[in-house]
Amino acid sequence: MNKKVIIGLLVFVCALGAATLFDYVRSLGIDIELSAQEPAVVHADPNVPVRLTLRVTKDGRPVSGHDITGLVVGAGNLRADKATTDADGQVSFEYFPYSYLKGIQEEGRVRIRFKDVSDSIFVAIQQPKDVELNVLKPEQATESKHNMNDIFGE
Amino acid sequence: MKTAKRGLTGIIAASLLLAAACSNESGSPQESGAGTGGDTAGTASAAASTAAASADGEGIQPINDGKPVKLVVNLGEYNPSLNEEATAEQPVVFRSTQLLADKFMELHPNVTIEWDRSSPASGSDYIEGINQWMTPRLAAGTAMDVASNLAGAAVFGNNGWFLDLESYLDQPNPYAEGNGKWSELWPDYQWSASGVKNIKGETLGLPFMVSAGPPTAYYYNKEIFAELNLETPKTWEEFINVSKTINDAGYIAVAPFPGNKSMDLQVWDTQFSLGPAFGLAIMDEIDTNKDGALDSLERLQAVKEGYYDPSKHDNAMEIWRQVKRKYTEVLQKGYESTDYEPLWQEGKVAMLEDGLWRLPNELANTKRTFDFGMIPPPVITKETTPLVGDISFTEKGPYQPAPANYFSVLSSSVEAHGPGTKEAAIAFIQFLSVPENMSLIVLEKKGAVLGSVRGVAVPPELDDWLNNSFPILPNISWLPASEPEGRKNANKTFEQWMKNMISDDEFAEQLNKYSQQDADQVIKSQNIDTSGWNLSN
Repeated sequence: MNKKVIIGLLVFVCALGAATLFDYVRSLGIDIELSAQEPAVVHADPNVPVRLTLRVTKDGRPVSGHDITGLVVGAGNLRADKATTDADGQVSFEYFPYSYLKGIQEEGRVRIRFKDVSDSIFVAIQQPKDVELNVLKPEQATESKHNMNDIFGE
Repeated sequence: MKTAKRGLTGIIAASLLLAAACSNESGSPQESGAGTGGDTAGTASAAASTAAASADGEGIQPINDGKPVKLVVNLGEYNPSLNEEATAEQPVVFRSTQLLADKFMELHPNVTIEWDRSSPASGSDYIEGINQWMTPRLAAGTAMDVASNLAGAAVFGNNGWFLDLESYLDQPNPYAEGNGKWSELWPDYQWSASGVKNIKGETLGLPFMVSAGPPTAYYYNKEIFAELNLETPKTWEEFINVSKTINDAGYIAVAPFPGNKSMDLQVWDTQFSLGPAFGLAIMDEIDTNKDGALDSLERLQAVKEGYYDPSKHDNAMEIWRQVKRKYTEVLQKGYESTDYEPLWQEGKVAMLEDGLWRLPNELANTKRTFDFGMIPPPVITKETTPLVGDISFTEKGPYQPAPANYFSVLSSSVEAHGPGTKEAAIAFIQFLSVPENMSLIVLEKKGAVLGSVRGVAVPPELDDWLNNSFPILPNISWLPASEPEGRKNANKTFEQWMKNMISDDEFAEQLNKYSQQDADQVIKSQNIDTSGWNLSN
């Protein structure tokens, strides 16, 4: 192989390695913490969403203008899968739980994974923060006010 | 040189190791290839205990004397999903039919249910798609035994595909309590549905799910209606007028369902807003057995007697003029190539035409920032033309909703797949038609459908929809051609007329020609006796 090509490849690989190491070390300084959850108790009812407030700091100081992504691992949805931190490093997400369905979707744990996607410079390396929610059966079963006899006209 | 190469290799290896160590992506979610072949049902779930059956299996006979049987089932959109938990890549999970299959196999340990996950190729002609999908498979003996996505007897009932289920309906369903005959589970009106019997009167389709009223709706943006101080339309004329006001205000009045962008005589306006009302006006003449519904044979007779002939009858031309009105006065230019989904999300569309099957996704659509409601397809009344019947409305709730799909047993498949297959097919359908079992499926569908048998639960997601007032319409279609070839020819001439490439008279003449040819084909292939028909009309 041509000597210049080998040297070029060596330089590229070294640079890539250095960049990766650099962004990895940077990511260690980012901390995402769940600062508030409202309501505290989560029920399997999409009509009662949960507001999760996160506080993002870097080396102990709040970071402003950082994009935070959220991904639900399990059932339920987030209203938005990305939001930006304010001046205090705070950002909120709204989680809509799944519907309780006996035998199909019952009580369980849902994990939501958050990441700061703004911090990497060269290579996308982000430390995730997982928030686990314990989803309980709703206190009152939601049943329809209609029945099939009326609909069938009988 | 060798040292340099070794060094390069070492650095590359180290870099890759470092990158891997720094990677903090979660492990890939459980990947389950969808595939198009069959897959064997999974193990029983504890939750399957919620499925009903005779609690201790009393009264249930073994299938095939306990000898092994494999049953291939394709329930289309009701097939269970391969993934048991939602993931980013596969967010949709549907498990109720798997739970029920597991429970059935617990009751019959010698039966293995295999899911057939094939489907017709997507395209503008749904009927032709099914034809091309099924015909070679039936010939090769690789088709499913039980299906719910073949439209029952409505389209392919004369092709010899399906088993006549009449004799089984006269026997009790051993899985359901308190029935002297299996047929008693269903309300009487459903036996007149077009997918149940073929021309010969054979019972080839058993209703599975029913639509929650009409199967389609207009999802409407409540904010646009509030801003413009408009009431939601109940009649066709109100619909046209409201749409004009909305268009003039700078919004998009109506986003058509993608399938309705192609010119087809059976666009949803024909099926749900116009056809039944025009049919109601001539019901006395064409409903020869006076059961309040138009069955396949009566429709055929009506075609041959000229009731659908636009060259002879004003109403038979007026219905198409009204379809054309929507496409020229309501829809915006360029509708054929417009993607309305982002426009709906952005709040620019006032009324979005779609099926009730959209409801679960729309309810879960947390990115939509406006509140939406749903209205039934506005029906044409005498306000528009005197050529329709008198329409009345319910105070609230739909009136005797039509089946959305049907269970069918593929006769050549069950014969080819060995002894016991037919028995297993009937037993599994009986099991699925138990109210408690059907309720599991209905509730998991979250408002997309209702169950067809008495006693099935109503999903709470439909409460607002069911509070609407619905038109009371007969079970009648305005269908000039029913067979694939006839429909294709008739649709082509319809498209030419809609685009003003042919005149009204040319359209009327050609449509009747294809309609008559289509009817003649059915009469000949089914050896139908037309001796009592008035063919001079």
